[in-house]
Amino acid sequence: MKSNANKITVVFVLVAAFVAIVSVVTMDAAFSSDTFDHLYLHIARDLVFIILTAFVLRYFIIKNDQRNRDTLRSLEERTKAIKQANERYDIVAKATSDTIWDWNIPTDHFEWNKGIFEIFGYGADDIENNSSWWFSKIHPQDSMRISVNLYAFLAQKSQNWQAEYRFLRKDGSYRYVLDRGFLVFGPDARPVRMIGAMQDVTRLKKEERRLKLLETVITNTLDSILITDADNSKFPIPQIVFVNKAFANMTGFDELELLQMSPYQLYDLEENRTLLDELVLAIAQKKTAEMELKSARKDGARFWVRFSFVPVFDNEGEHTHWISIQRDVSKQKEQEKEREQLIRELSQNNKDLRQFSYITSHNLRAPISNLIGLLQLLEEEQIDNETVKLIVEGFSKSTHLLQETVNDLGKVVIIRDNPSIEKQLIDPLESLNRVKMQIDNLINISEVNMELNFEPEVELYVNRAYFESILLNLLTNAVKYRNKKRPLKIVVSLRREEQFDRLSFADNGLGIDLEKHGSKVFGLYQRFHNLPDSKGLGLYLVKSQVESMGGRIEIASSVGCGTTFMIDFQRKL
Amino acid sequence: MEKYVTVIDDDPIALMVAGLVLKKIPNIKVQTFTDGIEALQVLRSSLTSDKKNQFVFLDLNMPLYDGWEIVQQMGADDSLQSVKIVLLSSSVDPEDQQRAKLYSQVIAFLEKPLSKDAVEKLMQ
Repeated sequence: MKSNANKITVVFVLVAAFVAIVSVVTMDAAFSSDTFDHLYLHIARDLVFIILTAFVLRYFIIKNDQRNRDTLRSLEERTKAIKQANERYDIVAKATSDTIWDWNIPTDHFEWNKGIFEIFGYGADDIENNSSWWFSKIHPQDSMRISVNLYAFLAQKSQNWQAEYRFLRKDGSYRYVLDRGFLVFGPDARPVRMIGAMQDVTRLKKEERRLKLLETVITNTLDSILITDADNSKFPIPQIVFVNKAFANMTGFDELELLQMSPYQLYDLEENRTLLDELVLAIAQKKTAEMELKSARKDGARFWVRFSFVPVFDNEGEHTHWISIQRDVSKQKEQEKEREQLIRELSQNNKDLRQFSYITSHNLRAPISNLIGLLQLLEEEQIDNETVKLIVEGFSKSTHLLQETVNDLGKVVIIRDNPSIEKQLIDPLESLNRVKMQIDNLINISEVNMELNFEPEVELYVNRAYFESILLNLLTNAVKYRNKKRPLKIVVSLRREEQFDRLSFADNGLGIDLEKHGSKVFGLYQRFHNLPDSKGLGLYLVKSQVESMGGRIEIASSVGCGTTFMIDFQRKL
Repeated sequence: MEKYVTVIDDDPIALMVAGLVLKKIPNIKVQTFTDGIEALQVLRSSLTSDKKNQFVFLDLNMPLYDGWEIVQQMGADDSLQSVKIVLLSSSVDPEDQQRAKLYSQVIAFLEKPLSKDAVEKLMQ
């Protein structure tokens, strides 16, 4: 650059010297200068002047040059910096998972980075490049708050803005975003540009809400919750670091008091020695413990508490806390005690009753067997007096009925006392014939039209004595409650089913009004016909015997038509 | 051949019924006792050499010494060991039946009232 200044200086000197010489020579010729020496003097003077001027000129040129060069350099540097900044912005906008927006406020031009496509699912055609579009996508419940907030911010002249709101995705769902903006001011101090970064915090938000919910559970549950640290050096059970309201209520201490304490101090040491030792051992071994202890309230009142102690470990497997869920079970304990007492009393009553029924049945039997014996002796005597004969007959009938009743009662007692009975495979036909023979002296069985429908070769798995007793009862019932207007017909059938053998026993007798008596047909001392020799025991006994063999019995009946009993016997496995 | 039957029952009516039934059977001599111990004493002193035809009909349910005690005493007594015992009860308890099997001396368990047929069958 200096050479440039030198060149200009030399040219200036040459041109100025030439002009000076020419002008001096020309003027000298015209005015006919007197001396040659005088001419030289002029030229020399001009040249000195010219050279001095040239130096001054050169100085200024160089200085000016210098200034220009400086300006240029700083301009170049600034351009470079801007270029770098823009590149950096592009890279950041591309690399960030945030959605970046750039709002030119005076022109209301709005630009989005790729996040608007990738995170919110919009296509390029969906987006309008103005701030209204942005606002239209904010959740209706948030948009009022955000617009107020934003205008307040713009008026405030501060630079950093931050807000949380829900932003609509293309698919109609909303995502929680944390939006952080930066405001740029123009030369006149008016906002000209705002750049924002929207961070998708939906997961965080959900997690936060989940935690909040969990916290609500702990705070509000009726169960008492206790957390201790893991250090059992000071107390056998580590010190409390958290209790919920329910725990404070249960123990009567307030939260601050409890935070100074160990759960160890809350239990009745006298009464729970062994259990407490167990708990302390479990704690020392970092094992889960569960138990019921008698605990003491602040006011000294005792209560039963059921609780667990569970060790909590952090991600590194380091034991950090114990959590304990506790519940006051005094009421249950009380009820349990009452229930036990009740059961004790009931079983004692039951035992007494059983004893009583045994004794009664035996004490009744002895005189009855005497009566029967006496009657048998009497039967062999000749009685001539007709009245006495009638009296003896009545006496005999009543005595036999009494004997049957006491026998049935005795059987019931035995069945009730032995819930399971030995069973064997029997031939049902053989049993039926035996029973028929047994009652042959009471009724003329040949008068009964009996139809048998037995599936061939089906053996029943029953107790023979019970089975025959059942048949006897059903048969005598059918005879007793026959319809006098027509001959008695009985149909007995046996069918093998998949799970059981079904015996059905149908008669055409009087029938029972099941609408009226249905629920108590098989009950004890239930009578449905006004007949002198009905004891109200037979069906009860039948049902007891069926059930003690694992079977079940059902009845179908209609008054005037007859009754059918269906008995399902378990098959042998 | 003559058979000797000693009936022991605390209930006099039952004893009477048993006596009357047994008396109807030919060739049977009957004696009855309400007290078991007394019965054993009499039996011991009056025993003939023909023990094969000696029977004791014994009620199980008695207040002072129940039937089982009498059975045990007879089993322990040399002179009474070969006397046949018939147990009587107004209710035949399966448990009692099982227990009766433990004593070889007990030849039968009959339900009261005693019937002529049952006794005759037994004596054959």
